[in-house]
Amino acid sequence: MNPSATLVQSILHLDKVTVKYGFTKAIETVSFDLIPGMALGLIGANGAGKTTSIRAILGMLGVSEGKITIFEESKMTPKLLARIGFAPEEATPPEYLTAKEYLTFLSKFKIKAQESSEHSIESLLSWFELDPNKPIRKYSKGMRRRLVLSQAFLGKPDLIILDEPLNGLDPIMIQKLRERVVESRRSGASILYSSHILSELENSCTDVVMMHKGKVVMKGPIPALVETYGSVEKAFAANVGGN
Amino acid sequence: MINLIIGNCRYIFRSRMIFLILIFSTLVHVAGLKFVNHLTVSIQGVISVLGPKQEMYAALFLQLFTGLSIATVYGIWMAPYAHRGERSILTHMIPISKYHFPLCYLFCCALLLAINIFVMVVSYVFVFGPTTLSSPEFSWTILAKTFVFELISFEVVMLGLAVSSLSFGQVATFFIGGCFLFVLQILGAIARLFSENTELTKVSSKGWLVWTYEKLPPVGDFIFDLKTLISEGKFNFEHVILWTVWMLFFVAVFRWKIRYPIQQRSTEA
Repeated sequence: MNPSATLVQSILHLDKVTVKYGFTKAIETVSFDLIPGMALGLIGANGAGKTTSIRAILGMLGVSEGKITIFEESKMTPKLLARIGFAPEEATPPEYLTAKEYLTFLSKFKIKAQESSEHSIESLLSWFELDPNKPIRKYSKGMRRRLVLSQAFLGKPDLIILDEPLNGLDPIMIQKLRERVVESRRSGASILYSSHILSELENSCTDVVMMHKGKVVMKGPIPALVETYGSVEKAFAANVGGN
Repeated sequence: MINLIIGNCRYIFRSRMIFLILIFSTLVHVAGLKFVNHLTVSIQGVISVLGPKQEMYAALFLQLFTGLSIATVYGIWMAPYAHRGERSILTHMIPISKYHFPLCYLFCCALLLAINIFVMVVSYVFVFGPTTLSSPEFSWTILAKTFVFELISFEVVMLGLAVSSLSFGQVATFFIGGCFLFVLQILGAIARLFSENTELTKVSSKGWLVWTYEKLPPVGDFIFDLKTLISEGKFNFEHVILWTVWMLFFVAVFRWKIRYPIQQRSTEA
């Protein structure tokens, strides 16, 4: 983990968080920090506990043990949600709306000034190459995915959480998303980026947390990992297993 | 809250629910009232047609049926829409208090029920002529009171069905809800039989069963309450309070149900 994380106030702090599904522990004693301007990659194989960790952070699951602090608050409130942009791994926006109507609806809760809202919506739709006036029910799977990603950036949130954002994206859109993530980080947002595509995280993130079977097995800044292991992939193989 | 209501109204409009209500409600009211208009009553050999007051009763009872249908459809299919399956995660992320959702659905259902009342009045005028509205036997006060009473009770039905739909799924709720309303109706009739028949009351103590029944939503007494309201213009305040308590209870349960996104049964239509 970046040594500065302990000095700078964390935006997100997980302290020995355990989440259970019934009697099964989905994640166990997970701890990490996210500081302003950091892009933290959450790496792990399928079922490692990445999505569970994200859902626990967003108050979508009850935490059995440990503590989660976001913006120095331990309870998720509407005020906190307004500062977070989240693109889930799988989600279906309301099909009866158009993309522009959907983002406009969300912007009423996230953006105060109407003028900046309209500008922001048009710019987002154009960036993600979405037809603003086409009903969402007529969108392809890839277009819906892009719409879900676009809403995560609406209102310039302080914390952006992307859960497997590359699923269903073409190579051009992957490149554009990468640029968007870097741009958001430069403008002050912190990013939590969950993926199992290690090369992508190496390009987009500053730090990584590696998860395996619900536990954090390694964490640290990417340059340090690359220096020690040669690449994030090799670091993952060394700590989690595989070739 | 206003934005949430506008968004929900857009859903009602886009899903064509509003048009279905208008068509269904108009058909039921016009057909029913035309039937009543041609109905004659024979009492001890004297044949007479129904008067404006009986016609109004008929109209109010017809809109009881359409109103219940609206509350059922809205509760089982429409209110849970944003809180089911993969959509629930995006809804969860909307930065507003979770209490706004049930309150928004109450408001939108009230709008639909108001439209239903409006259709009833228009159908009434269409069948009996506009002069009947100015007739001394047509009471706007009773109409307004009936609307308020139905509104409270149908909102409870709607929210109860919505909670059940989120918990057990839509198809199961349709049957569970139907059975529950039927059982309460039967219990209501039995309770009335006991309360009106002193002999029966003597042999069977009220006990915990009746005590429990009296605390449940007064579905079984609904028709009787409505009859008293229409004929005497009196609210059964005890039942109005009970309906209101159940409404608040279901608002709280709905809020509790959506505290986390509900992802099961995502494939159910």
